Amino acid sequence: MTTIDINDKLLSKNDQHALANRRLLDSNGVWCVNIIGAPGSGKTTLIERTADKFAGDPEIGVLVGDLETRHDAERIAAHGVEVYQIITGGTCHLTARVVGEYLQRFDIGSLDVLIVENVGNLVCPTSYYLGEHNRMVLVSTPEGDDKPLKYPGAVHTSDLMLVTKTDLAPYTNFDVARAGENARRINADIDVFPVSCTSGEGLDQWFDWFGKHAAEKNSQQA
Amino acid sequence: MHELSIAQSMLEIIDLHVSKSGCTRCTAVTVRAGLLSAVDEEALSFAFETLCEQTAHSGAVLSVEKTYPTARCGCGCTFKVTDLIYACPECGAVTAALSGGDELDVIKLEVE
Ligand SMILES: Nc1nc2c(ncn2[C@@H]2O[C@H](COP(=O)(O)OP(=O)(O)O)[C@@H](O)[C@H]2O)c(=O)[nH]1
Ligand SMILES: [Mg+2]
Ligand SMILES: [Zn+2]
Repeated sequence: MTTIDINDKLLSKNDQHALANRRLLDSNGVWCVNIIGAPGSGKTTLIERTADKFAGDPEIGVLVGDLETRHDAERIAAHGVEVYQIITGGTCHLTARVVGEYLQRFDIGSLDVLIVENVGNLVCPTSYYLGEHNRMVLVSTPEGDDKPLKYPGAVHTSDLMLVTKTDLAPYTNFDVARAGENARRINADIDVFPVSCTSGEGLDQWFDWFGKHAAEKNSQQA
Repeated sequence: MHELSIAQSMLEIIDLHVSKSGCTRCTAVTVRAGLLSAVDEEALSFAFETLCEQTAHSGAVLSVEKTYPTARCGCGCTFKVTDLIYACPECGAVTAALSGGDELDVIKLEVE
């Protein structure tokens, strides 16, 4: 019997595919953001608002994961962006492999931003890196301000937490400041923005964040 | 979760080193897994055992060496983080910066 000391990084198959996606995105100057959130937290609505705001500058492409239906892609397509629905057929997260396959459908050279709307779930998508540059998590006010503590993995791996549906906060006991504190107990560096897609409150801060990240990526390319 | 694909990657590494060493099978493997790598030890053992069954490495024993991030708080205190929800034991601040604890490596094999 022999003992061999090694030091080999364990990259899961998913991470290998994710790194390939990342290289493809980087070499084409495309910034990619992965949106995680419970079903109904407002992911699709946020993408619709964002598509309207930027209207082709930067050029946005969208991939939407869903267990069964095409409904979200139809909603987003109505806002003039190229979008593909990935029907996972019961799998509760997107994998890097499937994102890589769908990336081929875009004319990636003319794309500036890829938004991925992950399957509505706060647990499984957290463990699957897709090759994105930034990850964000949506928590809507009806879900409760302790949500970050219940799903620490999602908060820990995200760069931004959007508290959505702030227009509904008066009808709940959701405290935006407390939600932010809870999130920062898990991830001291996370940005927290409150937004409402219905009233428009806070959307400018989100658009700034989005526009800045997209522009940084595109300038690296040039 | 992602433990199955990590176990697959372990087997690839094992096969590579076993054949390089001129041996035929692996009997034990040690993995170093940081808290932040979010690997569930039980799920990984199960996935690894199951995948090994069909191979020459059937019965190989997995040991997981856990590592934890070190937190440095603004107050000067340094402490070990054993849970994703953590606070400084000196001043209670939750803003200490983490380093390390995200490793996921195969560090040792027993082959024969
Ligand atoms: N009141 C309110 N409702 C919203 C807001 N954003 C989204 N919704 C509603 O919440 C529901 C779920 O939104 P959707 O974007 O489909 O969530 P997703 O499942 O995360 O993609 C829809 O009925 C939206 O109209 C908001 O800011 N305020
Ligand atoms: Mg949706
Ligand atoms: Zn302290």
